[in-house]
Amino acid sequence: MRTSIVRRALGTASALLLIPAFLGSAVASQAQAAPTATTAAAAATDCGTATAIKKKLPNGTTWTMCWRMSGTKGLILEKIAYQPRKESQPIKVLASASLAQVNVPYDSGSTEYNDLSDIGFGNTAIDIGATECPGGTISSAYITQQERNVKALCTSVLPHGYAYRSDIYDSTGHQKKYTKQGSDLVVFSLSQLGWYEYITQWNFSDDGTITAKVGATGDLSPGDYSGAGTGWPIGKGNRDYSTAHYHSVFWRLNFGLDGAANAKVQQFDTKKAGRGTAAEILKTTKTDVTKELAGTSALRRWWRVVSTAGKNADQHPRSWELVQQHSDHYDAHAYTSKDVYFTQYRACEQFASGNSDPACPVASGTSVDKWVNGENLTHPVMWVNVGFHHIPRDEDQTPMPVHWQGFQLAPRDVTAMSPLTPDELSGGNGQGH
Amino acid sequence: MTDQGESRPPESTGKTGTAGRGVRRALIGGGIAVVATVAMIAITLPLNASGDDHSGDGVNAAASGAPGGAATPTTATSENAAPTGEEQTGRGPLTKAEVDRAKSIALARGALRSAETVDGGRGPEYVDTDLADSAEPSGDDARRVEVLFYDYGHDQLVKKTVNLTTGKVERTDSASGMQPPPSADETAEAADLLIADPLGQGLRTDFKAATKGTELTTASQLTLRGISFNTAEQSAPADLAKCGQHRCVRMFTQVKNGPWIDTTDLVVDLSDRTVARIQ
Repeated sequence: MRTSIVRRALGTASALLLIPAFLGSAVASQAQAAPTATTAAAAATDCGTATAIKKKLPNGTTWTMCWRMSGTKGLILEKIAYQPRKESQPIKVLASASLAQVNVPYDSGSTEYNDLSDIGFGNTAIDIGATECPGGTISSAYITQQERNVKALCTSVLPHGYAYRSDIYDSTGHQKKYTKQGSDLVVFSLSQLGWYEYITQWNFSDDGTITAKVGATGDLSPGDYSGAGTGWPIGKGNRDYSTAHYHSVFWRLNFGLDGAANAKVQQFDTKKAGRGTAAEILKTTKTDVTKELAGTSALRRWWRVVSTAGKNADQHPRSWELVQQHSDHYDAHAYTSKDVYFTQYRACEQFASGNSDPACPVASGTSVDKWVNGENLTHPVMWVNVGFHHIPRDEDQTPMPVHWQGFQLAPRDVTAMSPLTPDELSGGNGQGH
Repeated sequence: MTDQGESRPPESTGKTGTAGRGVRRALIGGGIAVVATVAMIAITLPLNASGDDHSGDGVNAAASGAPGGAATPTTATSENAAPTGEEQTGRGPLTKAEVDRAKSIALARGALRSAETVDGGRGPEYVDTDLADSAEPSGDDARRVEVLFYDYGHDQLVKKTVNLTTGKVERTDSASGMQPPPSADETAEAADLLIADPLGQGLRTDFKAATKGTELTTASQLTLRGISFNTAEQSAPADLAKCGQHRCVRMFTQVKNGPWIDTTDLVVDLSDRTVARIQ
């Protein structure tokens, strides 16, 4: 059935669409979670002898991936593929995705930690209890430094609220409400670093959005107290100033778009271009990123990684857009002073700082900022830096409520319409504009 | 934090600490109480199987919204065991058998015999094993493992890339100035050095107070997590400038089944077997 499309549906801001996965865990009602999701055998996803993560979400989207635990990097997801309801084959997205650093300097100037490269998120992985993974699956892995199997991974399906809603009038003027609730495949692991605890989480939404986030909980450092200006008084009176500190979290994303190592990177900037008849004219320009880049966030600036191997049914190249959330980058280290890096793939470049693979010479630098040196970018690795400056508050006393930081990857022209578009409206592709 | 801590048995742990650390805690007041509180958490959280929906609610906090206090999940949690055995293919967790085999292949035929372990023994100090980054999507799918060693004799990190599919060492790389997280053995060695050092006085005193009089004599009385310390990657006082070229370790330190004792400002240089303080 062909219906006339309401124009506003086409212009919805991506940021609005993308927020639910960040809130999802908080608003999720467990009673609705996921019993309809199916866990298929590993056969379809090539993880070898290992059991793949494979979930078909209630709205028909299937996500598949392999997983493992690294002592240093913690949870590593590989061969991530996305299969919308109407696609006959999974669409390959990422060859690998993992954390690349968690840098924690204290404002007092008296201490600093590199939680990932100096301690390790797998080395400190802890067992996930059944009540922490309701309705999900807990998978164990051998952690070499702990010399034991750890219940390291929880996979579950959680609702994330609205996928969409729209009142649409057909050609005869009859109104029909289209609305759907969305859901995410959620995978996470836990790491306990002293008194701090981290949740390394990925949400894979039924609309194709990928959300990466790290949550910090546990307790504030019991030994780091300072004074006004570098701390905040917690507890009674103005006695104990818990020291403010930073968490700069880096992710390393090695794309494998449509099964190819090669991909293009593009930067977009939208700038004011004079007054129109009723409002300011905004012009968006594209810059091809053909050489390695250390990128700084700016108003209306974004990046995408574009497939060289696959197009959607509209003949648009498939791409994945970096959607940044709020981030205060830490300007006291060079490598944390930028918001995103694109480097040419090298297997031995694994950590955003403190890289410790002897196959990469020390002279070439051990942090990502040093690796941006003008090389042509044909097989891009994206490094995302998200900084959170944590000024403690009374509420952060034990146990500290989880604070999250992260980013999202949104599909841009991966499918001709959203994979959640109801069949009755799928004829609307290319109509109404 | 402070308030709750004060309702715990108010051991005078920190205040009796005579070293700088103890003095600092006494100055900040809240320190001791915090120690006790954190210990409680460390004990209760990992064992969270009681249906207490308030303790593990970081991510899947959901049941608390249900009326009538229905805290038990309505859907069961299932479990997948860790893979085991030597014969693995593709991309998935390393098994214990694979790790053991990779180490043995890496050290076959007397490899790295001229290296030195953390306590001065012959051969390299084993650090870690990890699956190599896949060259996917363009590379082969061999089960390739990287085994890391530290050679204390030459202060070098050595990586052996072992192809478990072929059973061969494919390459050996070494470098100085790279310091991955310390192993449990290296961390225990660091703790032993600290315990025996004058700068370990505060730790010994706090331990004795926390255990009602037991002397701290060995690392095995502690739960430890080692932190590598590399001055090339972070700022540090001049007397620690060697750390990075040397292998240096800090520690999160906890009395076994007891409170934390904050030792994070103490750095043990495992290469020259000395202890220094960050401040």
